[in-house]
Amino acid sequence: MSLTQRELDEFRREFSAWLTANRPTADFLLPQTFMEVGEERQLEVMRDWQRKVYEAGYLGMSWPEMYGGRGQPQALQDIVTDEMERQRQPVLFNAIGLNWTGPLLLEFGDHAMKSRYVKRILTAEDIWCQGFSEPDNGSDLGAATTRAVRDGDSYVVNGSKIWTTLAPFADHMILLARTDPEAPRHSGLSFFLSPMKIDGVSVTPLRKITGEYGFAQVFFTDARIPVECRLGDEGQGWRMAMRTLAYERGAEGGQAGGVTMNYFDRVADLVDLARRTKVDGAPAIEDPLVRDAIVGFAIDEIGYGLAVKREAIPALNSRPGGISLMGKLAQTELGIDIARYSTELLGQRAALYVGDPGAVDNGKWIRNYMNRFSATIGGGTSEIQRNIIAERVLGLPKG
Amino acid sequence: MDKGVETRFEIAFSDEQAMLLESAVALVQDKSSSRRARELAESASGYDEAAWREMAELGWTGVAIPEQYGGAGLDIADATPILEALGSGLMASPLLGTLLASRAIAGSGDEAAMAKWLPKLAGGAVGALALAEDENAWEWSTPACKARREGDVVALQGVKRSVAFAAAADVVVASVTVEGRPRFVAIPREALEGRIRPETTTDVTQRTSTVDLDGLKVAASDLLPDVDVEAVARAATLLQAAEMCGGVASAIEYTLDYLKTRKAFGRLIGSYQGLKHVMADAYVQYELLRSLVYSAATSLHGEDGEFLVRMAKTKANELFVHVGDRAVQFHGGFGFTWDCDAGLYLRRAIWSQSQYGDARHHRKRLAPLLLEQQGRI
Repeated sequence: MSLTQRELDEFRREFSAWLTANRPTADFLLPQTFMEVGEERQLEVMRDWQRKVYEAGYLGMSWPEMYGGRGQPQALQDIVTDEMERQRQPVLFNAIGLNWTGPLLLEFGDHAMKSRYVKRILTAEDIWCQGFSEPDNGSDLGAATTRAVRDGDSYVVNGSKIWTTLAPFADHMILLARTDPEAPRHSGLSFFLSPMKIDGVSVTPLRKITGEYGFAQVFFTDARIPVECRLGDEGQGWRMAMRTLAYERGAEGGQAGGVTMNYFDRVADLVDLARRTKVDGAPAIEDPLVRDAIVGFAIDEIGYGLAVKREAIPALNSRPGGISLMGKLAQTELGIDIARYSTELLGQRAALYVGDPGAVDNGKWIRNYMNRFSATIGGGTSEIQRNIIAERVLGLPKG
Repeated sequence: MDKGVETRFEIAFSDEQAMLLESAVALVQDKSSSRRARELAESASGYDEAAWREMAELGWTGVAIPEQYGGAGLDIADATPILEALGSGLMASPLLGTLLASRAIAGSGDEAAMAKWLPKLAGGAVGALALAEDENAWEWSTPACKARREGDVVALQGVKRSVAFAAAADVVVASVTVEGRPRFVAIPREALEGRIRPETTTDVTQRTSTVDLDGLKVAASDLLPDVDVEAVARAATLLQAAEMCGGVASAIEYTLDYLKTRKAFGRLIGSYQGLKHVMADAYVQYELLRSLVYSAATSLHGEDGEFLVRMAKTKANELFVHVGDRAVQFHGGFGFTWDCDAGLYLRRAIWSQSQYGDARHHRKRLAPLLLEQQGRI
């Protein structure tokens, strides 16, 4: 089914109106991204909000109807996600289920798995977390040491996962664990849909630099996971993990959709702030130094947006694949530069943080800046990204 | 997970441009090298006259000339890939000046001047554009050079600086103020006898001259009718940025080659993160620059033309000097010598930023274009 532009426009109008009318409110700070759900009361609002979006028919729109989806074109879902972002609506917090696990299950799961898990992701009845990173292996997933040992009809798991978003509330985890310590590192890994609320799994919340909670360290101590929770064969864990990361990066379609993060790291955010704050007693937007800084950010932001467009013109790509590979580094480093600069526009009130009645915009700018490190550190640090670009795109030798 | 940065600006690349890019890359590979650039730097004319004839035969000199005058009838922005390729080969040629002179004459709509000059320029005659002056840097609508009508002749005053290939030019098109408005005057080679002083240039591959117009009298018909001087300067800025973009690519490539072969402390120096991370960042910036250049070419004549051209030139200035600077540094002791090409790139970078506005100049003018106009962010 392909839709006309007119139908798409009509759908956007309809959804936009629904969204404006149904925006959830709370008299406490809602999470900026799906990674800061730290309190029960936040969870409650977030869960209700996701369920409402789903029941109104705006989530999992392109997923099969037999598993709770709507069987509609992805284009409609993309409009929903775009419009939620544009309106800076609260996030759909069950992101790991909606955007990574869901598509992975639809691609690799059997009928029983899909029946059991997929719809409950959409309704937020089941919350999902991801167990990839370990305390000693941050960006180096292939070095995972958490062990899963087959024992009858279950696996016995021991080890620890860290930076696990939503773990304190999660019902399930996508877990990367080593089933064969003798095999070369990538081929000794297997992939599990591990239950979280079982004996032997304990969760210690971690407090972030922002002061909030939202992720945790998870400990497995002789936890028994049923064999039918394994996705793919033994030894296919790396392949499943790579597919998950592809969904995580958004490089593949198939996500259930919905905004998952609200950052303030675009030039437009900075301009908006600079119009409302003063430096040296005058509007910041009139200060020549501020204007020049914004110009510098704009050149890079527009330049990157254009690079993405140029990538589609093969004759203008002398290093094929380079623009894709540099995407994370370019976007997240520009984002954190802009976020950092925003703290310079707050003047004396940069001293006030979330919770203080005098803080500019409830303190969101400084929290936003600190949260931006999740993007320059998570998913492969900027330093790793530079290695990847230097080695794979520029052909420089490994260190 | 992150939603990508989106922009409303566009990049279009036509089949004609793709063919020009392909033939330009081929010609530059064939005709230019740093060794050749060094030879030409020592030569009298400063450019490869055989290669120049070939460029004319390929139709490059006539890109911006209407077909009725022997040109290709394309847009001057279509020359972007050519200048980019020339820049990548550090290849000196009078092409930029010739394209701009033809653009200025064609833009005047002056039938006599077009008939007089355009077929010659399309056929390989050398043109030069004289915009720059000492005291009036990069503000094109108010040239300090002046022209006054005196009956059948026009009397000129003032001095033009950094006129590329003026000594070889059959025609020098100079901007002058006439009755408070900027105009172009097309000065034939004969009139400039004894008025062209070759300059010692930062970039040794360039051939530029100071052109003394003081007291010069030319025929009134050489003064072209009203023409949009800013538009010609904008095209010049775009093509200069394109040439710099090619230079950046080559300077990066040249440095990478060294990082892949030179060892220090038992390891290839390219394996050290202190060097490879700088190169990775420079590469990212290069991709941004190339995108800005081609978007500026796409929208040169539209309402976003000035905005995009200024952004492209700003990025080109900042990045080319940075890449040239790091090229010298990363070549170590060799980088400090005359024989290392890093010096050629660095000199080209510094010279180029002085052409049609440095970064500070453009950034200052970008602020209102960004912040006081709707829809650009």
